[in-house]
Amino acid sequence: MLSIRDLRVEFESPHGLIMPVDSVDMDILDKETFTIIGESGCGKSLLANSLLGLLPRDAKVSGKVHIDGEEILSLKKKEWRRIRGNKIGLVFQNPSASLNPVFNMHGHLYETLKYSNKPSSRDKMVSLLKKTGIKNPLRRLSQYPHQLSGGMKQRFAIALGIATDPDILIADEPTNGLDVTVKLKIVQMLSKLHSERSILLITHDLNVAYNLSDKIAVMYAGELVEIAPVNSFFEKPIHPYSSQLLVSHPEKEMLPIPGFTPQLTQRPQGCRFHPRCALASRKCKHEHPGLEKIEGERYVRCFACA
Amino acid sequence: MLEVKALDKSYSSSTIPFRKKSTKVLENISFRINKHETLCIVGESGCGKTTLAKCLVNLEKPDNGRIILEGRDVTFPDRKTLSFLHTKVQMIFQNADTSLNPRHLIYDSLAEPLRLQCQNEDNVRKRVLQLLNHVGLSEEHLHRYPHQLSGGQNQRIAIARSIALHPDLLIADEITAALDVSVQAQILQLLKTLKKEMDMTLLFISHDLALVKRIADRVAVMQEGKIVEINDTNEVFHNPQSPYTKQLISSMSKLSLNNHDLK
Ligand SMILES: Nc1ncnc2c1ncn2[C@@H]1O[C@H](COP(=O)(O)OP(=O)(O)OP(=O)(O)O)[C@@H](O)[C@H]1O
Ligand SMILES: Nc1ncnc2c1ncn2[C@@H]1O[C@H](COP(=O)(O)OP(=O)(O)OP(=O)(O)O)[C@@H](O)[C@H]1O
Ligand code: SF4
Ligand SMILES: [Mg+2]
Ligand SMILES: [Mg+2]
Repeated sequence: MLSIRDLRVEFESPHGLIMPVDSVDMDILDKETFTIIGESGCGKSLLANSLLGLLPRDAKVSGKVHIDGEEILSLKKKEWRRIRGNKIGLVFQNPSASLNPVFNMHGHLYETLKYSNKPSSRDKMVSLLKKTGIKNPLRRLSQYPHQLSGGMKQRFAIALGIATDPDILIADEPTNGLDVTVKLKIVQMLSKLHSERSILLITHDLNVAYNLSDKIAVMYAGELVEIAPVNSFFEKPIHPYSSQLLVSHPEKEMLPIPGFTPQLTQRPQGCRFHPRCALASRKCKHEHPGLEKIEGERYVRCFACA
Repeated sequence: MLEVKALDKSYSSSTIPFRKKSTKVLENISFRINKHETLCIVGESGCGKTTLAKCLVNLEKPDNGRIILEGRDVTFPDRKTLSFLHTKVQMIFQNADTSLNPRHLIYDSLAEPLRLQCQNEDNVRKRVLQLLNHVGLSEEHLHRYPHQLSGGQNQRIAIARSIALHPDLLIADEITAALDVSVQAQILQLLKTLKKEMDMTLLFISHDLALVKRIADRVAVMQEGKIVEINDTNEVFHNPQSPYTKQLISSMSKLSLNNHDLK
């Protein structure tokens, strides 16, 4: 369905070239929910946005991304229109910043539907709002972003993402800012969508990841460090970063990982996690581990675990 | 420390002038925050938590009711009372990306409140670096604009900014929602230390019940503009009274990492 090879996103910065997304390889199968978790700032949103041609102008993207066999990174600006909305839909992170303050909800839906040549009837809009659990959909259609609470905007962002009925839905933090009862509803709603299409989910919410995903990928400092089927991942995370991440969850010990996220301009030599890793050996400081298949469908980037 | 008495607030819901219909967003809200405690507010999205917090820092005006901070009425502050309010109470917003000025370098966003205190630029710089360290960021982030940082990094900048002036009461509106659980744990440790070192009181708004259960002394549950339950944390989680609280807790356990029902 979606295959990503050696995807990189680079920026020129005053301190030299930085590479927030570094040679990512992954495959998302038909009707699979593939979830990326990882540190804030590790490159998840840039990765997602590069699949939609939505990166800032000064970003350099390289690598290959195939959707149903078609390479999309080399597409011209005009051709993106065919992909966006029809093939890939996006539920963007942080709707407060991304919604246009001068458009009401009707306006946003209208633009989105028109962009991909889909009918934009009022009934369709109302049913989309209902689907995402927005009460009083008719009244809400005429409201502007500043009149909505954070959670309401989030639900609206999901409605925009699924409006054009894409084959792959990219959902960047779709449950951010929702109360648990609504979150539960959204999780149930997304898991229904899940039987209809592939979903690339990006989330910090491990509860959502656990309940929705087929596969989990863990990202650290621009790289994927582990890919695993969801159940085996939560039973036994293998990469030291993954297992420490689980330990920081409030349902677990809630202990933070010692040390700090490496700066983009000064990524550690060798394994990028070595300054914070309890298992680090001499080799880890000098050699860069590759993402290796270890058992079944599990891939790990770690000398101690491979 | 802070007492809220019978607060009401409504917004006009129609955008058509002359046909204003107003909706009540807060209705008869009364509670108090005791010194040094962590009071958490949970509740439906859209129930008025942010609006309530904004009333407390005078970013919204309530229709009725009183807000009393250390014995002083700050409901409709004059200039002097307002500056009293701002030295005592700081708020960190739900959306860091929109609360930081997009045209200011991170350095200036952090330095601004310090400069207002007439510190010399050397001290300002030192303090800015110290603040960055506190929230787990480093110098490389200083000379960027908010759009060049990730969501979580912006949130940490917003936290650093709000603690710059040592407030007595910190209001945190869903500040960790955009962060990974490890950074979240780190920030909560930080808040815990700051609370101790600076004698801070914390009003923490969150949707993450597992987190609230861990950090709150007391919990207030809101629904449709009202406080439907307020009690010690243990009571709220183990002996919930209102139907809505019960619903929240049951949703939480359905989504829990120890539950397989949804799969
Ligand atoms: N326009 C830009 N110029 C330079 N660096 C950037 C730019 N946009 C993002 N970055 C950097 O790239 C890294 C990855 O950013 P990204 O937004 O993908 O993170 P993320 O994993 O989505 O984080 P979060 O979970 O906090 O949303 C960050 O360290 C960020 O500072
Ligand atoms: N400026 C405004 N004009 C009109 N209505 C508003 C305005 N700001 C907020 N509202 C409405 O007031 C209600 C409460 O909003 P508020 O942002 O306080 O909710 P919240 O509890 O913080 O929700 P969330 O958890 O989703 O952030 C919502 O129904 C919202 O639509
Ligand atoms: S390669 Fe070494 S430093 Fe890196 S995660 Fe594995 S053990 Fe730790
Ligand atoms: Mg992101
Ligand atoms: Mg809010």
